[in-house]
Order: sequence, then C-alpha cells, then structure tokens
Amino acid sequence: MKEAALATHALSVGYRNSRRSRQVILQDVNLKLNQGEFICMLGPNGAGKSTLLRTIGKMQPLLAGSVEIDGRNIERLSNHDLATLLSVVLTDRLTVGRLTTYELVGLGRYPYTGWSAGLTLEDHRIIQWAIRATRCANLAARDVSDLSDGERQRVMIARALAQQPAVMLLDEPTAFLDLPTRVEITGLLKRLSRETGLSVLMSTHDLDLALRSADTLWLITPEREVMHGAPEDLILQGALQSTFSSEELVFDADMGGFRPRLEATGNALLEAEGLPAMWMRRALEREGFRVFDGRIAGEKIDVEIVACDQEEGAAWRLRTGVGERYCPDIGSLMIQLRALSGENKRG
Amino acid sequence: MAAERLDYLPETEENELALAAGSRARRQAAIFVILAALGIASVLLSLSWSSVSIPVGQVLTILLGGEVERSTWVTIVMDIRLPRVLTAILVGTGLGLAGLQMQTVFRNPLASPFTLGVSSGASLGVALVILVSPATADVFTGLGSSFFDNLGTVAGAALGAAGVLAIMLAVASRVKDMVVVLLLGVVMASLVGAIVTILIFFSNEQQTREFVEWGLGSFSRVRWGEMPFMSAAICLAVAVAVLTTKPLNALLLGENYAQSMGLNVKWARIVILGSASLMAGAVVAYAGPIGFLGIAIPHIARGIFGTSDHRILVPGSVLVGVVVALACGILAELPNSSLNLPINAATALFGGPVAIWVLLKARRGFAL
Repeated sequence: MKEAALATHALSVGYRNSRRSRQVILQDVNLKLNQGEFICMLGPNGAGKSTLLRTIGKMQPLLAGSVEIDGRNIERLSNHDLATLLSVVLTDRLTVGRLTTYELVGLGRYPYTGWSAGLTLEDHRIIQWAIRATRCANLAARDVSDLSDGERQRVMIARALAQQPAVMLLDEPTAFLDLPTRVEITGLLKRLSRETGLSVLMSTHDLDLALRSADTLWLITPEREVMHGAPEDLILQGALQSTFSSEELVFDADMGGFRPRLEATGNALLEAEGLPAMWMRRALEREGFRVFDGRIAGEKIDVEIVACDQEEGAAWRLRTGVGERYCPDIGSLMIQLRALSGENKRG
Repeated sequence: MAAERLDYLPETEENELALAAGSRARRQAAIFVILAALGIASVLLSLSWSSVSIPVGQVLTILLGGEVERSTWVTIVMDIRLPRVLTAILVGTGLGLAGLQMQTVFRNPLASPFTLGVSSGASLGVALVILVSPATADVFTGLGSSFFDNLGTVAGAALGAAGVLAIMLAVASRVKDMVVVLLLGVVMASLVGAIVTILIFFSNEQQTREFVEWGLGSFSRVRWGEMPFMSAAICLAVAVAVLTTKPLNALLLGENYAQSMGLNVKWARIVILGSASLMAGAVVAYAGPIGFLGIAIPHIARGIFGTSDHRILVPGSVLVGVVVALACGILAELPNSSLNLPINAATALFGGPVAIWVLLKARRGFAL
C-alpha cells in the first residue's frame, strides 16, 4: 500500500504550562491523510481543532506520539525541509500593505530560492500556475491590501500552492466569508486535491459544505474524542448528531443539516410527491409538526395536507378538525396553520 | 506538475503578469536615480551652504584636492563640514534601516528606535560607560580616536539598545495589541530615562551640561578620529540588513507564516534586531538620541516606491534616510547665520507631520 501523505501516531496535543504541568487537549490521536484526499475537520468551538492543526504543522510542540509527513517524522525535519512538504493558510491577520498578489504568491517560493530570493524562470512558471489554478489572474497586479476577504483568501491559497507541498493545512479558511465565497473556496480546495494530487486538511464550521464536499471527515466530539470516516458513515453511526445536537439545535439526519429544536405542535399527514412534497415537509417541520406520509397506528393526526390538481388554481388542500380549506401556496397554508394553533391555545 | 492541465486562461495573460511587474520595476529604478541625484545634491549643498557660504565649484575643487581662493575654506570643508556630512549620512542610513527592521519584526508601523525606548537604552549604555568610568572625563564633547573609548561607548550603547529591544520583543510576543506595545515603549523610555537622570544628578556640572547638549543631537560631534568606528559599526549592520531582506519579506506575513515557509524565526529575529541595536547604538553614541527619523524614513520609502518588498525598501530607506538627514542638517545649520539649531528640533519639525500622517492613515487599518 502507498504511504499516507500524513499520519499521526498516538499523538497527544495541548499546552505545556510549565515544566511539570501539561494541559492535554487531545490524546492518542491516530489519523491519516492519503495523497489527493480532501479532509474537513469538524468540531465544536474550543474542541481543539486549531491546536491539532497547529501541532501537525509544527507550529506548536506535540506532547507525545509523532506526526509523519511523507513517511518522515516532523520532529526530525528542519523548518526548511518541512516547508517543501507542507504549507499552511492561517487565520492570522495580514498587515502587508504594498505587496502585489504576484509578489505575495511569489513568497511561496521561499524554501526554493537563494539568499536574495531571486526567482528563476521555473519559479515564475510555478507562481503563474498557482495564480491560474486559484483563478487569481485578474488580481495579479493588485496590492493585497486592496483585495476583498474572499479574494485575499484565494491569494493565500495560491501562495500555499506555490510552495509545492504534499500537504496543505488550512485553519478555517471560510470563516468570515459570505456563503457563495465559502462554497467557492471549498470547491477550489476540493478541485486542487483532485487535479493535482495535493492532500488537503481544513478545519471548518461549515457542516453543510463539509458534508457535501469532504472525502473524509475528522470529527472532534465534545468529549475530546477524534472520529474519522466518510461523512455519510459518520451520519449513519450517529456521530454527527451527538456532536452537534444541543438544547437549541437538532442535527437532522434525513436532511443532512441543522434545524432548531421546536416544541411539537402536532402531527401532520402529507400526501404529495416530488419537490413540492420535500419543501412542504420542510415548511411543516419549521412550524414544529411531525410529518408522516401515511397513517401509522397509534399516532393521532392533527392536520392533513394534500396536494391538488394544479388546474384548480389552488395548490394545497388543508383538512383540519374544523373543516377544509384551499390554499394557493405554502405561505398562505402556513398562515392558516398558525391561525389554527392560535385558536387552539386560546380555546 | 499539473501546470499544463490547469491552463484556464489564454497565454497572453502571462505576458500581462510580466508586464505589470515590469512597469513597476521601471518606475522604481527611476526613483532610485532621482534619489541618488538628490543625495549628491544635498551633499554638495551641505558642504557649501552653512554659516559661511562657499561656492559649490570651490567645494568640488577642494574635494578633488585642487587649489582654492582661501586656504581657510579647505579646513572648513575638510575638517568641519565633511565629517558632519558623513555623520548625517551614517545617521540617516542607520536610523532608516533600524526603523524599517523594527517595524517589520514587530509588525508595528510606529515602531522605531525612539518610540520603543531603544534610544533611551542606548543613552543609558553611553551614560554608564562615560559617567562610571573615570578615564573618560569629558566625553560627550568628543571621544577622540582612542580605540578603547570608542569601543566602550559603542558597545555600551549597542548593549543598552539590545537590552531594551529584547525586553520589548518579549512584551510584544505576549501583548498582541500594538498600541499597548507602543505605550509600554513610552513607559520603558521614561523608566530608562529616569536611571540616566539619576546618573546625571550625581555627576559634575560640566558633565551635566554636556549631557544635556548631547541629548539635543548633533551631527558635528564626530571628528575624523572617531569616524572609522562609527562607520564600521553602521556598515556592519547595513551588511546584515542587506543579507536579511529575504527573512524580512517572510516576516511581513507574520511569524507563523514565516516559519511555515522554512525560516528559523528565532534566529532571524536575533540577527535582525541585533543589527538594528548596533545601528541605533552607534547613532546614539555619536550623534545623540535623534528622534523621528526612524519612524518617518521607512514610511516615506514605502510611499514613494509603492512596495513593501524589502529588496527595494532596504536600499530605498538608505537613500531616503541620507537625503532626509542631510536636509535636516542643512535646516539645523540655518545657512548664512552663525546660529545652529539642535538636530532634534529639525527632525521633529520634519518627522512630526509624517508621524501624524501615519496615525491618521492607520485608522483605515495598519499596514507595513
């Protein structure tokens, strides 16, 4: 079998407060990252995602165990040698004022240049490749300080790429970005791992995006246990649900996302098909209904919703204890339902 | 590599990338030429334009070893003005580079030998060497050419500067807020200043007067005897600055990124701040604690060259520093009068507005 791009063996991470006392955050971590794999690391705030990432990147000393990159122990690698195997994108604030995108990406060639940092033709070729691969060509001549947050993040990825690493570590690269940019950055990283064989490990809070794009998830539970596996496997094992569910929030395994935990308002029977059925179900759940698509013994049905023929003009028929109503769309049906539950409460 | 597979854009884009880099390089080359010309002009002006005006043509003749109308002019130019001009050049170079190095390593646009208390540390070093050692009785007025006096003073100043820098660096690695670091620098400066004041209090009247005069700053204190020591110290530190442009560029991104690119951050900091201490120390020992140039010069260099790249900024700061220091020197001499102002007054008049400009600009986010 081919050697993993990155592997941890019985790794303990945390902080040394003094000579004697240590604060262990995660222990006995055994994980691996294969070549060309795209891994997202998930976990609640303060679970130790950054600490693990920083330890793997040798930015923080490990407490026990070892980290191997390309089969080599990072403890025995010089900073320079490590830089040719691993590059990082961090959350550190940039204070660079007058450096163009091209110059910043060029800094990625740092481990390969001489004392004067002169760039060879080959270096220029790699810088331009990194700029193109991250779709930053239109930013090349602009100062980094003039870029938007999303653009700057792309440029930092280009810089990390120009370092030609085997492994790229990213600490919450999508934090503080708007949704389309988050999707774009995640897609970019996935594409890079596919097309160039780069192994990518990123920590993130974007559960939804991670579930949709990661090959493998590393999941740090509130009990400080590290689980790993394909996103779907972790859902089937219930690991995601138990990690992220709280008093306010439920992880819905059917939908693959979060929804707020609401007081149950009743049971609804839904007779519909296809896309309208899916979205009506979401609307009903938002209102706190448990939704069934057939009668089940022992469950009392409070309301029945049936999709109508579109020719009638009305899209939905709402059947309740008091009678039947027709609604042209989901919005008006929801208003009816809310009015109904209001009457119930007053009565 | 996969370079070919990821060719999303037409080949012309590559040419555009190269062109963008090229146009900036040409502009920067032009600025270097202009600054060099300004530097030569200020040297000649400084030599000819002072309490007694000597025509530039005559100055050139003297420099080339020719005969001039009055023999006193030769003495004035060679023994008074030329050392003064060289001192100004060394001071401008030293403070400009020390400021640049400190701003990058501290990632703080207001870092400079003066603001972080480093000049005060150097003053303390000088005061200790001078006031405590009985051999050097009248010191601030001139060290002469004694090897040990010079070595002692420069070493004292550099060690004092390095001591304060080490403390400030330790503070800065714990306190991330750069305003707090600057405030601590101010506190540091007054603390160290207090010790110097106590030393002065117990010295004799003559020494006190000289110390106050020295504190105002002057380019005229260095004679030919001391020149080799001052220039050797500054040149050594300049060589270090030139050799460390690559680490300085990496440090622009912060220590974590610099380390991830293969830099040994600890060593880089020691070497870079060591050379900054040597420059700040040498300047303070020979010209007094001169303020504002350290802050102002790197910002002017960034502004006119339009880059944060240290391969441009290191030579750029040297040239800007030389021109600005010479200009301050001319201003302080008040040409055609027998008066001359303390250098610190001239540098503050010049550097104050620059510091204000930096602070106002910083509201839109600090940048280096």
